[in-house]
Amino acid sequence: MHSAYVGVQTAEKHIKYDHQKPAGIAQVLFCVIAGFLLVFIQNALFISGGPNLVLVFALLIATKGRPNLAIAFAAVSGFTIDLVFGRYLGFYGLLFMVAAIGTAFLRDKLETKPRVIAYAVPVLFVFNLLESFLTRVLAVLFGGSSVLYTSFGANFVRVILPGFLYDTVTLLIFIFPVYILWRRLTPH
Amino acid sequence: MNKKNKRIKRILIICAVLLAFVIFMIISANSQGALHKVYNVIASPVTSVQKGFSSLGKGIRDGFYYLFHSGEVTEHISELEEENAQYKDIATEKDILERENRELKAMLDYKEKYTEYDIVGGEVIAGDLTEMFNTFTINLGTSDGIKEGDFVVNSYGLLGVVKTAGPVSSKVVSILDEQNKIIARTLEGNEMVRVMGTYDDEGGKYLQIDRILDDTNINVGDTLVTTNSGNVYPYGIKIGTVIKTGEADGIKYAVAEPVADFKRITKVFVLTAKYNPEEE
Repeated sequence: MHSAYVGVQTAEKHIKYDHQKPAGIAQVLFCVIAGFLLVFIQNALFISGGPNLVLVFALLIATKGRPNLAIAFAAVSGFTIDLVFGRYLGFYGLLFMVAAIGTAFLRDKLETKPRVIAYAVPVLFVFNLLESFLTRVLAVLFGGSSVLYTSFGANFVRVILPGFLYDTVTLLIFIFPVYILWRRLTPH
Repeated sequence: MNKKNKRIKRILIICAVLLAFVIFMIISANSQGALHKVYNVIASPVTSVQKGFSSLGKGIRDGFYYLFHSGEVTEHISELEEENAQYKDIATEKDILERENRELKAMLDYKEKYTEYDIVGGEVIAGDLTEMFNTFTINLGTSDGIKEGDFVVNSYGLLGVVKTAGPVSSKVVSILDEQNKIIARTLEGNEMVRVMGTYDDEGGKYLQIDRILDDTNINVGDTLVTTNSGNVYPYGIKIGTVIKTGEADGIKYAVAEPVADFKRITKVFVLTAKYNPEEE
């Protein structure tokens, strides 16, 4: 874990930070292409229980100081997932957008480093909690289920926590390729 | 001031989008009407793209499967190598042939048994994002004669019901979903019960059996099949096997395991009724 922490710090140290500038056209194009690929790849590669590649990408963009781009990316890609593969229209659009807003907000208010661990990881934890809770709320309201949770503790340990860890590992793996590409696409 | 106005404008836009998502969610939960129209418009081009990615994904998944099961496969192959070198690949071929044979036999069985239904074969092209909604997408749509409410099965048994049918693809809600309530019978005792998807807090997905009367005899190991009660489902499609029975607060309950492995479904058949009363 320590080596991952040091690795993330090193990666961030070498990346230019220029959040005052508007996103370059190359960065916007990168988001569009990445969004298109990630939406289809994660649903094709993993018939069930795949990593949340789209969310992870959105959070990484948000940690790089592109709140508008990250929020727009999260909303559009989440809504596409809902429309094409999802059960409830707007579910992932809403959750991804909230997660991107949360990351952008934390990044704006805190100066803690490394940014990914300080901003994106707590947001992933809240995202998994919200996702589970909202799913159960929808099941109770529209799905005919009579109970929200029979044991929240068991659900937390067996469903929410593994989901959070899975997403965190995906985030830590993705940080390097995404940041390196992002750095190359940053307008000078 | 201008900066402040910009900020307020941005916040308002974000709030409006968030609110729109909540409204969409409520509408799509209650009725598929609005969702259906949008889905029809964008489903065709998106499905074509997804089919390509799905084929690629299947190849990669199969590759990983053999990588992680290489021990078993290698052991099997080495035994066969001793017999004859030409049978090296027999394990893989046998698996494929057995699977194909099972699928074709199942399709034939369904065709012979359910003459009032057209049987259309297809494949799963995408799954649910996080397993929470028990949905999957198949490469069959209205152009293949599929309509909402059709039953989706595979060689093992019942998988789910078509929830949204687009021109070339459809979304299916699996029997593991709490919303899918099926009237079933046990093969052994011919006892009628109600089966619905259930979700335990440890993430396990099972079939919950309720409406068990005092004189109903249901035992562990019993096989559940669909019954044509109310002409909703045709009789005799396997649903699951009872794995647990009990009583809580004086009410009998039972839990069953679905016959199909939902994590590994690829080939599916859709049973679509030849006679549609709505068309009259």
